[in-house]
Amino acid sequence: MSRKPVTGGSTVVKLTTGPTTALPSDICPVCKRVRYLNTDMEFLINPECYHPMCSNCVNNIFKSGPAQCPYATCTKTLRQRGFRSAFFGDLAVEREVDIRRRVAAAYNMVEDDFETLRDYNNYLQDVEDLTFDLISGGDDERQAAEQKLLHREQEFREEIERNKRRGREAELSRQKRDAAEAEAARQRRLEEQREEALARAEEATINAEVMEALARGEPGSAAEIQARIVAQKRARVAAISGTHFPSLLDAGARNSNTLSIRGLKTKKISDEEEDLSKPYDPFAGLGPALEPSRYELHDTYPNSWLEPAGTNDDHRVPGYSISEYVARAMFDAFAGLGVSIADEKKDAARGPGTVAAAEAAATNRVSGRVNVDDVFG
Amino acid sequence: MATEDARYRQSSQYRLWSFSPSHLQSLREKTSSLAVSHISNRLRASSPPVDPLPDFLTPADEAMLLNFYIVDLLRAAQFCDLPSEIQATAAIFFRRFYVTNSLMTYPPRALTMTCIFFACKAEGLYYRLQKFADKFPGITGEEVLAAEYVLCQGLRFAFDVRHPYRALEGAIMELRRLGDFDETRLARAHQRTRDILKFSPLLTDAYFHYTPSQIMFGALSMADEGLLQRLLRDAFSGQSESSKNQVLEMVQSCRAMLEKEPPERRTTYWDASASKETMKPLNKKLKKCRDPDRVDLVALQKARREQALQKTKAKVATKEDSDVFGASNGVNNGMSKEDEREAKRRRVAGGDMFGPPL
Repeated sequence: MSRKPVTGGSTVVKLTTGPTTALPSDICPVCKRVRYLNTDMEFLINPECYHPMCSNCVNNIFKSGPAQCPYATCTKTLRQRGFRSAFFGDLAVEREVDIRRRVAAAYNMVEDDFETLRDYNNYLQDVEDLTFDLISGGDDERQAAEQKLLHREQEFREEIERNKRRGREAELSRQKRDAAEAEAARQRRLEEQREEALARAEEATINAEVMEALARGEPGSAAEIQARIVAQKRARVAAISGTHFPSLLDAGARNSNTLSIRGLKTKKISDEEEDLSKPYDPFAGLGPALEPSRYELHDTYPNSWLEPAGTNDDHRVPGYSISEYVARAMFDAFAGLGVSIADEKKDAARGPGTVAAAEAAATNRVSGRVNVDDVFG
Repeated sequence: MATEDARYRQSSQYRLWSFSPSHLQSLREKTSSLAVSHISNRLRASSPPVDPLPDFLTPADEAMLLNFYIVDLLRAAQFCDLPSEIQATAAIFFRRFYVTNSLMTYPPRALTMTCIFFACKAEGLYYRLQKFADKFPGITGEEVLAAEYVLCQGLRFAFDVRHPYRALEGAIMELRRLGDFDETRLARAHQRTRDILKFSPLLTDAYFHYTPSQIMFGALSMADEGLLQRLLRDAFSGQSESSKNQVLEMVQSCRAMLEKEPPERRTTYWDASASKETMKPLNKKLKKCRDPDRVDLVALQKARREQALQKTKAKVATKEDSDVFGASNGVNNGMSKEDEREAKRRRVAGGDMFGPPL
């Protein structure tokens, strides 16, 4: 019987014995039985050498104790306990997955264990190198890698255990959270469905109510009655479906009803952005400073002089505003009432407004002739 | 601190043209002494030296003359049918100008005309120069304009004068709204206060020492003390008695100042012959001690214009020189011009079609 040529998997992959990597489908390579005669035939492998054989063979050969692999060149001693069915059709993949599982169990550190991202990446790189050596390295490389892995497994057992526990806990909490979220989503969906059904039921009764109202002989024409009832119904339906929004929006307290998004970075709002979020203030925050404190501005004041301005086209059309005038007059009446110039300007013993003006004023009087106050110069 | 006060403190009237009494006095004395020393230097240096020097005006003389000329100014402004705000603006311009300039330095007669004309401009009332000059015999448009720039300098380019007139309207409106007083009393007080405001603060230093609101309340208390008390009671309802008393004190001192020049004196001032009689010796004195350079402002202005013209001409000439110089240096210049053009082209066309990055 010819053996099947190498098919799946990369060419680099090299099993310890035998060229075949694919799981046989019909004929057991050991006893040559055919599936046609034995429909519940099952092929098993042993992770020692990954040689497939049917369950009957395994039973026959290894039942009485450990024995050598029946394959021609294989020298591995196998036990029945180690046999299992392969998950992947390609045994090279099966082997690689096994190796990776073992390596990952030994090297199970996470990013938080490292100081910097670079350190973590270096660690990942090293682990990957080791894995590659194990999977597809030459004999020496594989052996060295094996040594390393064993060393790690033995020396760092405690640490590995600890990491595993931690990982389990994290996994557990994640699962719990996911479950809670799924439950919340389900509740929300139910709620929406209920509201929708309610709204639909309301709408369905419109016609009936209209007919009833017509039968009762309410005042107004038929069209009016219909319009009134439809409007009422619509309002009720809107009220019902409007409850979506509260349930979606203001459920800060009832966490179960909200769509929670995790892992978002907390946004820092700069001052400028914060300003943009506020409504526009034409006085740039000066508003309270412009409010009068000594008087209260009223809408109207009795003033026979001003009354014509409100009706007279000469004033009205160009946009003369009486309230503007009133505001200004009232401001003038009380602005600066508390300013004590004698006190506040006591120490302002200066001449003209600016230094330059002071100099100009001084030179005006002491320098000579025509160009004394030559303003163009 | 009341917001209204904070806003008033922003005005140029407060920042530039408010003084404590002692400060104002020292300013005037300094102005006078500077003018005296300058004019005496000038007179001594003239070709036939003036000897002995005439006696100069004292600050007190100047104050009297100032009021005389302000009355003159008000009369001229009234003759032009100007609104009372513009009349007041002109008078205050005149007052302010002669704080840092002496009457001996710049002739007051010419300045009154300039002040009126310029006040029209500052208050936004268009008055044609020719029409204005025609109103007064012996005055040409040129004369009116001659001192305009000097006036602006003297005012430190602060053309905003805050008057108490609108404030009075506001106060009367508020009193009417309160409804505690009968209409005739209010109307009488209104009329009387307006008369006071049109005259008294302009002839005293009230504008320098008090805010328009204080001046208005001072005048109101002259007309009717009860109205003032009523208004202050409301304005300071939520505040301590002391701040109210302080304001009341200021208003009273303002009132005392205004009472020195009650509007009744207008008629005595108006009576031209009488006032001219009293002012005659002072005017004579002024004529003798005037700054000879600035007697004829028109000529001064002309000389200044010519000087400026010569100066700009000289500037233009030097510029051309440099151009010629550059042209002889040919290559270099051409390069730079091309560079310039290139830069412009780049600016117009732009390396990036959508302009520089935002």
